[in-house]
Amino acid sequence: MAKRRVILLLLPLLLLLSGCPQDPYKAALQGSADVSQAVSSAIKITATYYSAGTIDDKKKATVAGILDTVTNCNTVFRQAVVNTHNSGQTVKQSFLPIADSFVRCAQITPQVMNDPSASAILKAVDTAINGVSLAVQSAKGK
Amino acid sequence: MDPNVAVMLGLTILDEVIKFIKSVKGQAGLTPEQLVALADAQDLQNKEDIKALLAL
Repeated sequence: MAKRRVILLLLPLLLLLSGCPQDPYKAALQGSADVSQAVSSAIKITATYYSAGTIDDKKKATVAGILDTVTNCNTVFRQAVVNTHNSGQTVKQSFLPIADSFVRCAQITPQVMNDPSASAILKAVDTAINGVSLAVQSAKGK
Repeated sequence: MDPNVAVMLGLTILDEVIKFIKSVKGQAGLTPEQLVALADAQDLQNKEDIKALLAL
């Protein structure tokens, strides 16, 4: 419930700041760049939490593994978006399945998000991941 | 939790949130090619930073 509230608050802010609506190609790339930036922030927060003793080695490794998976999924997603665009497909419907596939690939499990310290670190990443599909859906055009 | 540690963690998170918002706002005028280059470079840096994080 609280997670949904945070997403509902952060998503419009992200879309507003990123200048939405835009075409689905640019919306998908913008979403991907937002995820990359959110991962970068999460790495720094994880290091600070670990240095302060808030998380132990096991949790640090878990979070690092998740961030690595998200980064891999994001790289594949961005390449697929570029390939789709280069093949001449420009409509929203061409990018939506790729965005949905990325969200499934990078999805952070509820089990991890139920942990307060992991959730604090990963909340922005989770919001950015879910924002990708919404950004493509909200893009102008068909 | 030690109040000093809590303040430090809070400031770190706030700093990252501000950086994130600035980054998103700064990307608004970029071309698709620039966005791809930016995100590619950030992902490469993230991979290196994750290795460094695991080595801490």
